[in-house]
Amino acid sequence: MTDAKRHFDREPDLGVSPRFAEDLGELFASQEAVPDSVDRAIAEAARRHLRRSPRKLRWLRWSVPAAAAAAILVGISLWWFPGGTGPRMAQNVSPQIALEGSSQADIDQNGKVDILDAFILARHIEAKQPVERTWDLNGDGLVDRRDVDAAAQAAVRLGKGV
Amino acid sequence: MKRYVLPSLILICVAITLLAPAVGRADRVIDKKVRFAPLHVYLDSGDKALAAYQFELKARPGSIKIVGVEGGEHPAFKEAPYYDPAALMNDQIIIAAFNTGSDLPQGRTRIATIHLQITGETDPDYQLELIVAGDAEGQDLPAELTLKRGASR
Repeated sequence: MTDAKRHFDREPDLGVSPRFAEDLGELFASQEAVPDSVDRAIAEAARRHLRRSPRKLRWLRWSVPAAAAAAILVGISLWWFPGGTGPRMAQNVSPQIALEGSSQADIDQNGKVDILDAFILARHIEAKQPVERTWDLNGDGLVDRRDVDAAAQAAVRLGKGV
Repeated sequence: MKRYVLPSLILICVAITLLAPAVGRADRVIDKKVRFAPLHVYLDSGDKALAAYQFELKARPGSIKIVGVEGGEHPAFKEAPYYDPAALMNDQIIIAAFNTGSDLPQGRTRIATIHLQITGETDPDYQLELIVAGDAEGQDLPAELTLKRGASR
């Protein structure tokens, strides 16, 4: 063994001074134990935090009962109104030619307007017999088939009290 | 969250229990109660030629809706008669027609067919009133008005 290698064979001196050992001991000594009450408080706070759901989840939570309640309401309304309400044509709406008065269409002057007034007017026109100006029911200056139609429409009009 | 699951499930079950029979019954009710049927109107003018007619048909409100009108069987009245368009989808109508020609029907003839939407299981009571019937001279004609119910669909 050479002198150069001899110093590796010697055991290193691991001994520390008592003062240094004492300082290390103070530095790394285990701290005082956490009381149980503090542990419980921290755990409870954590549980509370985790239990609090985000707003989205809150909406989701109520959506199911809300949907069920809406379904019940729809069911009840279907129960009470099974026929539904469809579109209904307006009453008293007629495209017929407006007459100044029903009496104007009373061609035969019998006090009522019926299909015979239109019939008589039609026969007058077809036979080219003289016509009266009052028979121009649609006011176009002519007494023709359109006045016959106007008289017939006046006869069948609802709510005229035939 | 878990505590809302059970009430929600109960609510859903209740809703299904209520809705399922109600919806089914509503369909069945609609199917049963609404039907369509023609109503044939006949006029008997005896041995006189019929040149013009006018009548009114009524039914109990809500029992029928008039959905269409067509003419009669004789060529003189084959065209659609006069009526107020406001009568469609209503339960009352006045119908009239005339013909100035020489080929006119005599005796009993179908003058019009009214197509109805009928609501309810029973046949409605119809009120049929002849307002006027006229001959070829435009004179009042004694006549009898009758109706015949067609097959409903």
